[in-house]
Amino acid sequence: MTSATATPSDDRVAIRSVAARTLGRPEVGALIGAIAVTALFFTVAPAFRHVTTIGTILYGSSTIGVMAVAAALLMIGGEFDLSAGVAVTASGLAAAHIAWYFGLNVWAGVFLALLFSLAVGAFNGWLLHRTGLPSFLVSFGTFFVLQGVNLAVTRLVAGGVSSRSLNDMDGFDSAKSVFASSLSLGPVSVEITVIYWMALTVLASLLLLRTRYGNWIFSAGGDPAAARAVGIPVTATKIALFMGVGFAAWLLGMHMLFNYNNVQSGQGVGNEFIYIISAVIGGCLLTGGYGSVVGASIGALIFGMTQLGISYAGWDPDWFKTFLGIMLILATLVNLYVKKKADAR
Amino acid sequence: MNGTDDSAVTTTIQAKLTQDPTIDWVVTLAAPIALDAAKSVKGANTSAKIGTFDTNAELVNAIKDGSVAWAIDQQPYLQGYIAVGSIWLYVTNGNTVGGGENVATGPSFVDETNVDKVTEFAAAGTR
Repeated sequence: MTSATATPSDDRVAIRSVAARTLGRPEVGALIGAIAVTALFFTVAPAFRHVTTIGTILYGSSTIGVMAVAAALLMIGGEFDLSAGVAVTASGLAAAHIAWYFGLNVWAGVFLALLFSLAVGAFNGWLLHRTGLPSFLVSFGTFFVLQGVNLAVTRLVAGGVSSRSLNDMDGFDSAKSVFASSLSLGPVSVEITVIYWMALTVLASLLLLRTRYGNWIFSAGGDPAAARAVGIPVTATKIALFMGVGFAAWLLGMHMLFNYNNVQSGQGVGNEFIYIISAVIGGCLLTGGYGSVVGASIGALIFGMTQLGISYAGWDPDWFKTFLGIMLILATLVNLYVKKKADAR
Repeated sequence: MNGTDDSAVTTTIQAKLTQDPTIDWVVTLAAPIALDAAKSVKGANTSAKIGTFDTNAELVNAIKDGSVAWAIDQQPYLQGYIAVGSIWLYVTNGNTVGGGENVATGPSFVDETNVDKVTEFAAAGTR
């Protein structure tokens, strides 16, 4: 971490070997886990070895990864967002309803949905600051509120449980090409969300590790009181992180809207845990102040591979959740083990 | 699979189709899932056909363009409408429908031969 402040004769800042420093990085455990999962399915599932499988797995992982990146930043900043799963649906619905109800160009709906998602994020952060409640509670409240709003507004506006199709409206085709197109790399079909996911991972990682704002995130999550004492705007940092989750929810929400033409109002419930779990597999501490964006993306990849690997292997999908639970605990244990070994050197 | 996430549904069905290329039919239990399955079949590049239970406005279009072969419509609108209508007739006029036994509200098959007729009702949300 670049955020450590040098104090003379302190064992915390002793020079460590390159191997210890490499293994001590938060994402290493996840990387080892990802290699293990790849090796496992590569061995047992012939269909997993098809080259076209790469596109499918990357797509499945990207729809988790886009959110996991934002969730990881937030978690490093010391907070959770349990409303992240339904926020994706809420954003898609907002764009669809606004554009359809008012007969606007689709892009107007897209833009207003962005404002809506950022506002939900800002509201989460503001409420956290004002009430002093744990983010677990605050965002859990927002989770229920959004879930209700999703259903109720959809029933009022569209008269059903899903948004109206926008595919005959102005701007639909251009919006679809921006949010839900795919390109072919040889036999592999790469969905645009994969590119967004990679770009977000790189940008968020640079932000976290190479900028002053990144240091603010680490310190706001590690020790908010100490961070405040040295003049870091902890509240603003955290509100911005919640808005970051809002932005990611908007990006994914737009993909869901334009790729599947309409949005079911009940979707997204439960996905918030997948985002958080990906971040944890990737080495983020639940207590904040430590973690990695790249790790969270690898966590999303592990999740995507496992989810689909079971189908590729032809295993009974009834066992999926059981297998997933074991995988997650193993991945986290590997993570801890590697970190402990590295720290002991 | 995770039924609350279209991308998870699409990719999981696609994975299964790739794993077992002999699959020739996919039957889904809801219209939105059938539409996801249509994407999966396209992605996995197989010739599997899709049948589903229930319809909606989007699904009717999918039957028209052939990406979904048929839908078994259990006619939920009838399930509500006939039930309430029967009670009203019984109370106001002493009528019984179907000899007091179960009244079948379906199934009704929607495929390319009759899809045009269903389209406008599906758009109105009653089919």
